[in-house]
Amino acid sequence: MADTKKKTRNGQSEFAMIWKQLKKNKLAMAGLIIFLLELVLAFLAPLYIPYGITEMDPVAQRAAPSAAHWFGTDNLGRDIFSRICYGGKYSLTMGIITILLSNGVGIVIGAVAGYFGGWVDNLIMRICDVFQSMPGMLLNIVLCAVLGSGWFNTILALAIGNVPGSVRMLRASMLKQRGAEYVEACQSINCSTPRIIFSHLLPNSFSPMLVGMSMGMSMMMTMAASLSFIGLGIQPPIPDWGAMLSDARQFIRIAPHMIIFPGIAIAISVLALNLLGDGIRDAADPKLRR
Amino acid sequence: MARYFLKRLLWMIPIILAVAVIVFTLMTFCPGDPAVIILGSTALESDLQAKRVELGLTDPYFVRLARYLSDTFIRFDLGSSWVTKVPILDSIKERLPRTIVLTIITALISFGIGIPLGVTAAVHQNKWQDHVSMVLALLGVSIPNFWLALLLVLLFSVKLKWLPVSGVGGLKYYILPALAGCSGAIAAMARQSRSSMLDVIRSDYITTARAKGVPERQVIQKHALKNAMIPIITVMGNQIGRMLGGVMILETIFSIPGMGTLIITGVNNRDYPVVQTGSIFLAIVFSLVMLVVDMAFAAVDPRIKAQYANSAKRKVKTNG
Amino acid sequence: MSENTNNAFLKVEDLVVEYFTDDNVVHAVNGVSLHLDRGKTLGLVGETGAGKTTIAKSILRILPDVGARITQGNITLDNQDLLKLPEHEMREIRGNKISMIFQDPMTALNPVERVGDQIAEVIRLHNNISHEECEKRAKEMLAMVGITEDRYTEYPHQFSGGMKQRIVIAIALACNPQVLLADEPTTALDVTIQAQVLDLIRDLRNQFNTAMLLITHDMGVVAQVCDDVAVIYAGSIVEYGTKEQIFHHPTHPYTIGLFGAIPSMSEDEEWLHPIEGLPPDPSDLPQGCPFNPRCPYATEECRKAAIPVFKTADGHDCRCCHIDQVKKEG
Repeated sequence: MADTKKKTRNGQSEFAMIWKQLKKNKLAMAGLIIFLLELVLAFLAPLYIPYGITEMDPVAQRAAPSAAHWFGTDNLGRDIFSRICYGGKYSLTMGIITILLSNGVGIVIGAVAGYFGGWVDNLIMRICDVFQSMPGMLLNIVLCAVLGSGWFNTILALAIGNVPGSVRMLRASMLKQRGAEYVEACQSINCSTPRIIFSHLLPNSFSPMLVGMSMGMSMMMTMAASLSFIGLGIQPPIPDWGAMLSDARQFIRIAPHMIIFPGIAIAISVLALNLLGDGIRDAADPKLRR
Repeated sequence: MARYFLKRLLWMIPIILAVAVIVFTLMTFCPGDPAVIILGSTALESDLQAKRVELGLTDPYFVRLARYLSDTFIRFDLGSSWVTKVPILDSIKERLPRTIVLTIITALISFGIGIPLGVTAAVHQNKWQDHVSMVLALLGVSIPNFWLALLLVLLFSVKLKWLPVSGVGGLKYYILPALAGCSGAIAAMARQSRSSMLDVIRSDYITTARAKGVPERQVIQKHALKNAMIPIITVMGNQIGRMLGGVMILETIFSIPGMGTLIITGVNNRDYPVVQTGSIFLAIVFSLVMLVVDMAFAAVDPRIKAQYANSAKRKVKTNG
Repeated sequence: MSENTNNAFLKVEDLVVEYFTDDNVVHAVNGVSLHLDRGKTLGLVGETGAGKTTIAKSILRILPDVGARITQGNITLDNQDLLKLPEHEMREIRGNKISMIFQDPMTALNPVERVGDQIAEVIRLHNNISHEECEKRAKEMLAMVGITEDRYTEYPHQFSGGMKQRIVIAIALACNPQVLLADEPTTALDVTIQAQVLDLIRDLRNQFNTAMLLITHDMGVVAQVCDDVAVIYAGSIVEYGTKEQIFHHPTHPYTIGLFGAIPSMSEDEEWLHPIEGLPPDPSDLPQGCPFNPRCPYATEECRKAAIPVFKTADGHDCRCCHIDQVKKEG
C-alpha cells in the first residue's frame, strides 16, 4: 500500500521527502555545510585575503608556511593561502555546474529518446555507445584541447563528455519505471504517451537521477582538477587548485608545501561532496527509510 | 553464447570507426595551427604554407577524413608523428604494453583488496571492521589520485629515497604509480561490494542456506558473494575505464612513456595523427574490457546467460 | 495441558523475541509456549506481523544477526536445549533434524545455483557420502516432489512458482527431518497449486512421521492439515487447542472474529464480519490484553494487566478474562 502511494507522488514531494531524510543524516549535513562554507569563503575571498593573488613577495619565494604566509609562498613569491581562498570560486563550482549542465541536456535527450522510441532511441543510444567506448578521461582531454582552456570551456568539455552517461542513466530509470504497473494503469485510462513521459516517468525517475548527480559532482570536481593539473583545463595564473598543483610539481623537492595545501583543499571539498552524495543516496533509498 | 560474443565483437567495428571519425573531427576543430607549432612562431609564412600542404591541411575536411580513414582502416598505414617523425605503430607497440601492464597491476591490487574489504565490512555491519573500512574507503574516493601520486613521490622518493621518482625499468618503477592509481579504485570497490553484499545478505535464499545448516563462511563465500557479483562487476568495468584515464595522468607524473604521455603530448603539440591513432587504440582496449565484463555477467548469472542466448527472441521470462 | 507437555518432542516455552532498531524495541514474540509431537501437526494461525515467522526462525536460530534477540525462553528438541547449543552443533540440526519451508518460493532459492545442487548441498552437509551419491539422492528427492530428474541442472528462473515451492520442499525434506517448520507454504501460490502442494506436504509428513509446525493465516489450510491449533495475536498465543476445539468452540474474541471473517458455505450470510481496526504496532503494544482496542468485550480489566491463561476444556487454553460472557453471546 505504502508502495503505490510513493509511486504516485510527484517530483516535488519526492524532493521534500529526500530532504527530510537527509536532514537527519549528520555526516551528510556536515558535508553540505562544509561545502557551502567553502563556497561562501571563496566568493568573499577578496574581502579578507591578506595578499593579492598576483602580488609577489620578492624576499619570500617558495617560503615555507610562517606567520606572514600561513600556507607559505609559491615559486613567484605569491601567498598560497590567498590564492587557495580566491581560487575556490573556480575549483568548487566546476563540478556542480558540469553536472547540472550535462544532466539538463541528458534529461532532454533521454526524454526525446524515450518519447519517440524506435529508430530515434536507437540512434541516440548508439551515439552514446560510441562516446562511451572511449575512457572518460581520454574524451575529456580531447574535448578540452578542442574547446581551449578556461573555466567555462573546461566545464563545457566535461559536461559534453558526461552527457552520454546521464542520457543512459535517465533512460535506464525510465525503462525501469515503464515496467511499473502504474504506467499500465495510465495507459488503461488512455493517457497519451507524452503525458505519461512528462508527468509520470520523468518525475518518478527523478530520485535515481538525483542520486547519480550527487555522486557525479565529486567525480567531476576531481576530473576538472586532473585536467588543470596536466595543463589543460584552467591554466595559470588563475589560481585553480589543480593548476596550482601543476605549477608546484616541479618544485616537489625544494618546496613540498606547494603541493600539500592545494591538494588538501581539493580533498576536503571532494570529501564533503562525497558525504553529501552518500547521504542523498541513502535518503533516496526506500529500503533505508523509516 | 559464442554467437553473442561474436556479434558483440563484430559490433565493435562500426563503433571504433565512429570513434575514429569523432576524434578526427574534434582534432580538426582544435584551435592552433600545427604548422606554427612544428616550425615555431618565428617561421616564415612561405615555410608555414609549405608545411601545411605537406601535412595535407589545405585540403577540405571531407577529403582529409576520407584519406585518413582509408589509410588507417584499409591500408593499415598509421602514419608517423608530425613532430617526432617516429612511425606511430612503433610508438604504440612500445607504449601500449606499459599502459596495459600498469592498468592490470592497478586493477589486480584494487579488486584483490577492495572486494574482500567490502565483504568484511558487510559481514560485520556496524562493527569496528565496518567503520574502519568505510572511513578508509571514503578517504580513498576523496583523495584525487594525481595528488596522492605527488604525496607518494614526496614520501618514498624524495624523503625516504626508497623508490625511483620516475621513468621505466624494473617492477619497482610501477610501484608508486600503481599505489596512487589503486587507492580510489580500492575504495570504490569496497563501497560497492559492501552495499551489494548487504542487499544480498538480507535475501530469503541466504536464510534458506542458513536453514540448511551451511556454515557461515560458506554462506558468505558461496551463496552471498556470487549473487552480489553483478553490481560489483559493473563497478569493476567502470573502474577499469577510470584507471585507464587515471593511468594517463599518472604516466605524466612519473614520466612513464606510455599511451597517456603519448596522447597528452600529442594534444599539446597538435600532433593530430598521434592523438587520433592513440585514441583508437585506447578505445579498442576499453571496448574489449567492456566486452569481457559483459561476458563475466553471463558467467556469474544464469539468467543473464539465458538472456544473451535468447537476445533475438526477448520475451522468455520466468512465469509459468 | 501442562501434564502432557513435558515429554513433547519439540517444546517452546515462554519465548520472548525482540528486534532492536536505532530508536525503539519491537516486541515481536511475547512469551509464547508451544509443544509438538512426532507425526502431529500444529497450526500457528494469525495475521501478518503477528510473529509467526519469528517463532519458526527462533527455533532454527536463524534470526537476522543484526538487531534480533531471543531475550527469554527455552526451546527443546527431544530434551536437548537448542538455545544453549554451540553454533556448530546447531548447524548439525538445521536442515537435518529440523528444516523449514519458506513462505515465498520466488525468493527462497539461490538464483545462481542449479536447483539440483541446492538439494544436493543439504544432503552433502548432513551425510557423509560421496558426491555421486548426493546427486543420486537429490534426483530422488526431485522425483518425489514430482519433478523429472533431467531438470536437475536447471536454474530457479526456469521454474514456475509452484515448481519452485516443490524444490523448496525437496530441500526441506532431503534429510528426513524430525521437525518441519512450514511457513505459509502455500500463500504465494495459485489456489489450484495450493491444494497440490498441501497434499504433497501431508503425504510426506505421513510417510516420514514428521512433526510439523504449519504457519498460516488460512483457516481452510488449518482444517485440512492440522491436529492442533494455536491462534497468535501480536506476538502472544491467545487460544490453543485441538482443531475440533478451536473450530467448534472458539472462545477467544479474536478467534471468533477470525471465523466471522470467513464466508460460510452452509449458511446464507449477507455480510462478512471483519474484525474492526488494525493489529497493534509491535513496538508500542497496548497495556493488558493486546487485543483490547479491537475487542467488543473489552473492559477496564483488559486494559490493566497481562491476561492469564484460562482453561476451558482439557487441552483448550484461552487468554481472555471474559470467557463466560463470550460463550454466552457467541
